[in-house]
Amino acid sequence: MGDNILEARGVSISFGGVQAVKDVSFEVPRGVIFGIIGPNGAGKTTLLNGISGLVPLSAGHIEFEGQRISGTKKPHQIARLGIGRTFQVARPFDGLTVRENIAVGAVFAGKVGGRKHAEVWSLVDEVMEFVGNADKQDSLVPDLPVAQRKRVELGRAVAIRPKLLLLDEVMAGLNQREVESVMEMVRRIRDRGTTIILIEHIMKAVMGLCDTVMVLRSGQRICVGTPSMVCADDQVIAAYLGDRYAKRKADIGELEQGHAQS
Amino acid sequence: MTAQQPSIATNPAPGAKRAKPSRRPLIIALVLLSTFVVLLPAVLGGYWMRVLTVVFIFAIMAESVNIIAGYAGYNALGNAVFFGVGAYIVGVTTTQLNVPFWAALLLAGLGCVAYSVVIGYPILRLSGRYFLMATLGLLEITREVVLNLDITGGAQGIATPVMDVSPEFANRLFYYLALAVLATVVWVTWWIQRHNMGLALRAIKFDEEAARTMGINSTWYKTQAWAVSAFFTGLAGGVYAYFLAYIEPASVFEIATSVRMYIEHVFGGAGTVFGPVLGALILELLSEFVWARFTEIHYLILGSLVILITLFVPKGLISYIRKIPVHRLDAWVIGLFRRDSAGREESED
Repeated sequence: MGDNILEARGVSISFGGVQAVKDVSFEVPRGVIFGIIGPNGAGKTTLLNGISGLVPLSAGHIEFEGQRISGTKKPHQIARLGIGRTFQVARPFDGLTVRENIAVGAVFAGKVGGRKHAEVWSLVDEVMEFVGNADKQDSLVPDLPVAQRKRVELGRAVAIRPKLLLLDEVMAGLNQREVESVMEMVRRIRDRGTTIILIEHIMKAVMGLCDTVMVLRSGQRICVGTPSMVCADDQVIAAYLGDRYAKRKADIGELEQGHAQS
Repeated sequence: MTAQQPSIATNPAPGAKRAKPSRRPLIIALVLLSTFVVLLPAVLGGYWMRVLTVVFIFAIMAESVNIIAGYAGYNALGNAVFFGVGAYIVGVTTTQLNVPFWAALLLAGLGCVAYSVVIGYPILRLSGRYFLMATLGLLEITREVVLNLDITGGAQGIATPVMDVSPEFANRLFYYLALAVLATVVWVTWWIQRHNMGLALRAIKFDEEAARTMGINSTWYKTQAWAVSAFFTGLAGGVYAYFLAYIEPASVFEIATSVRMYIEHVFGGAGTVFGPVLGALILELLSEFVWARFTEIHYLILGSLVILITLFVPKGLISYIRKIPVHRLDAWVIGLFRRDSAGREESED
């Protein structure tokens, strides 16, 4: 099993004729924050859906802690193994109170037979405190502002006590201050021993949080490395800003090198 | 599979300092109400006893629909199929196989559970309106099958055996029998609401996919919910078959019955324990009243009332009842008891 918590080998995911993810392989070492970036439509969310079992893989396989989960486990079984997730557009349970939302995570994803009564409640209280919604615990979710809805969703995923947490753009739509506070929460979750896979568009968050970043473009993996390595990669620049820009940057680079030499 | 340990969000943690709304008004109201309902036959005539028995039967069905539609969000509009199947199981087993009524009733419930599981396995995968349509299809198909079988007597229907008791006794028997089944289904709903199953069903209702990624085995919970729903609807059908002494496919597999129980659960309050019972009580009594006065335009008036009610009470009647300051009434009733037993210790909280 090594020290990789998750390994993906040759993963492809198709919807009809559209191949959203093409032959992607990667491994996520235990205890890291692993970023996935890429332009819209690159297949990032589809890849996460593949990991949590919501969409079937058309090729390849995914192993969690050395155990194959793709094709053999249903989403609820994958959750119980210890993979939690949030959704791109926050999807907390609207008719449930904040506290009940978090209880859902705490109750059902426990070990076989579920968690004990007292254990569930101390867990819920702990998570409530962690996400900082303690005064809103009996509010219904639709009554909350977006930032708090996102916190509820994050709290719900944390409450399953995941070994691996999949975060799909948890910071999108938040203001500067809120982004900072969510970044801090993500760090704290990691420090408690949870490995994190993070999809994010806010580069500040990616650069500040991730140990490793994988870049997808049109469903294909084009680069993996540390955040600074990835940012300097020509293919990545081409993916984000277009081929012409990448070429111009390369030209400028050569020019600058020329100047420096002379 | 999943253990059902009692731990649900409405239970505060032991020692947690959360203000819990007092349950005392509810308990007092329930005790008063059930005493009233249990004693009612002493003063009621046969006609009203029979009317109330039908009301109870509809309340059972509304509460049953509530479990699958109100809690899990699976709108089983064709749920009357279990009413018909239950009625026919009792009809066929008591006439053709000489099974005693009580055993037949149990068979009706269990038969409906089996039917719901077999059918539920494929159709509970459908979501939203497709599930709704599938249940309507199920109702139609089942009626056609029953209509064309020999054992069911086809369109002629079945006359169920008449019990060898006085009409007064029979009236009371069915009144209490329907009441007992109603009490049981309400209790079961209340139990579901307070346990993990209720939390799971509500999570499924609001976002099934998200629920699954939180470790909820949605297939398992949906199947269970529909099975419970089918069981009690089947019992209602079984009681009805003996109560009316005659059943035919067109009357027990009727789409109007199905729609009626569905409307009643929404009207009273979908996803609440007492709402559907209240909805059935009010709409059935109203229907009875309208029918007695305006027989010819009965459905016209009733339909208009339903439209008005859904326009102005979209969240169900129970949401308004919750706003009534029950604590005052509560304090008053408690005051009465306190005065009676003045020597007793005072503080309870």
